[in-house]
Amino acid sequence: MSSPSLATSLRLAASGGRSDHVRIGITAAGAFMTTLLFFLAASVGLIGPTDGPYRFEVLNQPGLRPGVIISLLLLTVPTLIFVGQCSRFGAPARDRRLARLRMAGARPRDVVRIVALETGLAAFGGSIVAAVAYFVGRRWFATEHIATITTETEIGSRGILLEEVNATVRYAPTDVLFPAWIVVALVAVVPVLATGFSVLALRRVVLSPFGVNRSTPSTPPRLLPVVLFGAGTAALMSFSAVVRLLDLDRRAFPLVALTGFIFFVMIATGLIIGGASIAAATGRFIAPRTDRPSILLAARRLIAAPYTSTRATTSILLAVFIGSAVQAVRASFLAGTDPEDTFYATTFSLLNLVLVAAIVLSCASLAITTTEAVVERRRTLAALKAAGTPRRTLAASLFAETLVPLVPSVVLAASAGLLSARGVFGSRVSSWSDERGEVILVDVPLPVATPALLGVCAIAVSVLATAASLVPLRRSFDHAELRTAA
Amino acid sequence: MSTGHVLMGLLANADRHGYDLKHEHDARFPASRPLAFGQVYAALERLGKKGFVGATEVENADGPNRTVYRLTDEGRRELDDWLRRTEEPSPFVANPFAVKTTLALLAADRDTAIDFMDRQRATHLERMRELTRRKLDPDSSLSNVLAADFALAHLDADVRWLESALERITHLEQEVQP
Amino acid sequence: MNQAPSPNLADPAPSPHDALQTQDGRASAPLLTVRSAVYSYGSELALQGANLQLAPGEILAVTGPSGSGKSTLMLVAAGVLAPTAGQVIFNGRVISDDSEGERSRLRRTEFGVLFQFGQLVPELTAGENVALPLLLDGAKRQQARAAAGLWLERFGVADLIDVRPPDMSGGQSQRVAAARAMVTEPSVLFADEPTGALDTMSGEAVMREIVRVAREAGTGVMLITHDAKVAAYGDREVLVRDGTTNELSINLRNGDDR
Repeated sequence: MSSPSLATSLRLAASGGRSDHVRIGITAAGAFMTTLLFFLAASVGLIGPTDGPYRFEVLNQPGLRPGVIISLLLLTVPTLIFVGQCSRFGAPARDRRLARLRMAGARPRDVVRIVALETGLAAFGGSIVAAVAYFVGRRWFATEHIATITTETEIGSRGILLEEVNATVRYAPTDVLFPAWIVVALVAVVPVLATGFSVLALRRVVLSPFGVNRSTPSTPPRLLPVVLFGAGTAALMSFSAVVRLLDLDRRAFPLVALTGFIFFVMIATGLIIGGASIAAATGRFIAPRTDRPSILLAARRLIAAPYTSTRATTSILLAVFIGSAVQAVRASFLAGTDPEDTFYATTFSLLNLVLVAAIVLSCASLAITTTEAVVERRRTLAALKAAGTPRRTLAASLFAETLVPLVPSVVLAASAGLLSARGVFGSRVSSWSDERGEVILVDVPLPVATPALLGVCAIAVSVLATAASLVPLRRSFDHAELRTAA
Repeated sequence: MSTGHVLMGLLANADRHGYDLKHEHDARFPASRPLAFGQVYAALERLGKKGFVGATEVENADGPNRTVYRLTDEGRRELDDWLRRTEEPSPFVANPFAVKTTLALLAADRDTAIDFMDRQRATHLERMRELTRRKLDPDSSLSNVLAADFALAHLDADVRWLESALERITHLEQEVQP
Repeated sequence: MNQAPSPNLADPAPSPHDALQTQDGRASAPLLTVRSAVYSYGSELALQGANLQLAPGEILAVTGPSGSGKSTLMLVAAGVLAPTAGQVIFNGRVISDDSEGERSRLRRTEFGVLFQFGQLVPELTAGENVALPLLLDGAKRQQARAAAGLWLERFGVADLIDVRPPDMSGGQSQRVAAARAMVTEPSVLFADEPTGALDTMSGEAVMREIVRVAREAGTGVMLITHDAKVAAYGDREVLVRDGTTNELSINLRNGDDR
């Protein structure tokens, strides 16, 4: 028994139709984005003592660089989810092709190999282009110019001298040196992750010659997400009070921080699992009550496939959750610092920008999921259209399918993020801005506007992403669907 | 397939008079030619000589005594043997309309042949509609439905043949021409 | 055996105002007329001047080899596709020039459509699938469900009301789909190979139900099929060949057998 040659597997991997080519294209695009972000994060991480200075202050202060790196890595979460989501695009057609290969004698692992090759090579292509783009861009932005920057100099053991000086600066760390192994690792990481994901995703799939059967759990857990989310939020909301009560603050800081982080992960996990639970629950509530066909169609679909409609919104929810937490932290920081000093405000604004970018990127995944759902159901939709169902009814049902579970989830995510961060950082902070120079406690305002704005932004971008899926909805009314046997 | 075997089949479940046998046959096989009484008695006599069928005189209060026929064990074995043997598939190539279609192509022009075939199809369809109506009639007996099914299947085969013949005429006309 | 039975006559040049002989010889104005319809998919000409007429309550079989354009003819007649040229006339009114929205409304209220398979929404129960056209027309849930139950019962599948299509057999799905097509009590039922995906026996049972229910409701049926055995459920047959309807079968002259 020997496996098909690499050339054969490659040819089979590339032998798909239009949707396969689109999948390869968007996988490569996702890998491009992710790898580029990795290169940017690495370039910040690699800034040495002799590099710089740079136009952007956050890059000049070593203490702030981890924040920049974390923000950039945070952005790779939605792009990685996007790469994972890409494997779903055109899946029914690909599954039929795989089943035919099995029927023609291919073994399950040959099929897995073909899929892994397809994903891996697409991601590798994207990563290579990203590396090239990074190094080309580096040369492009390498120009130096004169600008006024603030320099920090340590004086003795206690003091820091801040001076405003005119210096030759670069925009970005285009002068850092990349060791070859880091370049190789950065190019390899996304293809390796994507291949691993696609192989893992196929592990729960029965690759029979008659078709590809995905065993997806039909009913999401009801209790588990409620417990995780509820307990985590309650714990974090009372976190600082409990810590103060037990006087753990000074004695066991690492343990306290770890506990806080665990609660944070609990809430996030609750949100991720809970998305599908909320979808199924709202569907079950609405389906037997509505008179509107569009809502009925959406509700029934939420019950039948809660994961399909919520998988893509997971990263949106995470962004809203983290984003709202950031707003509370921001309020806490700004309440405790001099309003004249705009440094923190600017930095937090940059972070907000990153969060909005994360939401927009997440919505790319959503657009793929909804588009795929339309393509997958094109025959049913065409039959409904032929039977006189107005397109706006079908469009409304698609919007409802996304928004009905998303809106309550976003509200929950935003409230949880806000309240738990406030619980951790406290509703009162010490401030130095007293007239007599004494430390006083000030109330932290509850930031409602920015988390609300973030939530509205998330929902608005989701609406746009869903609207994008209406393009194939229009095409799916192609009568050809009704004439040919699928 | 002989009349003898058919009669033995009808005797398998119940003993019968010759008169009953004829009517049972005609009712069961509405699509077949009705049996003549002479045929029935001649066949029963042959079966009796072979020992497949036994005859018993039965007193009849209202009239003359009648003979009731029954299947012997030997007859049962012969019937079972016969039921296991498949029939030679009968080719319907000699069907008049098939001959006529070919002749229409040879002796007349293409359009005449196509016109004939179209009308022949319509004639077939009309007969098929009639049979379908009979099948849909809730009062139809199982025998009637089976007979209609049989006729429909054969008429359907004719129509399919006509359709393929038309396809061939339009695509391979020159091959049929002399 | 070539003696043609009593013919069904229609005017060779159909016009919406022409009388049409139905099966029982009763003359009536045609319910639906397709006149000189032309339709092309891009450069491919699927219909090149097709004609047909459907009388109220009539079951008309539209037959022809695959690729002949019979499905396209149905989609044009049902107002799903607007013909490139020619007219579709329903109840004396030209509907082929209507907007997509108006034709959608017509399909929802006056027409029912039944395809080979894959028309039921898999996530909805049979009852909801059947109720869907009524809900689209603004009916209340309870009222729509009651009507759906009634029509499911007429097709002998009342017990499936809470079952979802993936859990049904092919024959059951087609009965539910037929109930959905009939629930608005349409004037015309368009059925494109309704038994094409079924085995002989369940196909026969489905055809039996469709014919019975359509006759009871007085619904005209345009039955698209390549199968003569299915076409035999109709009162009349129109042959489609290379995008044109066969005049011979519309205007079936007495096949004299000289």
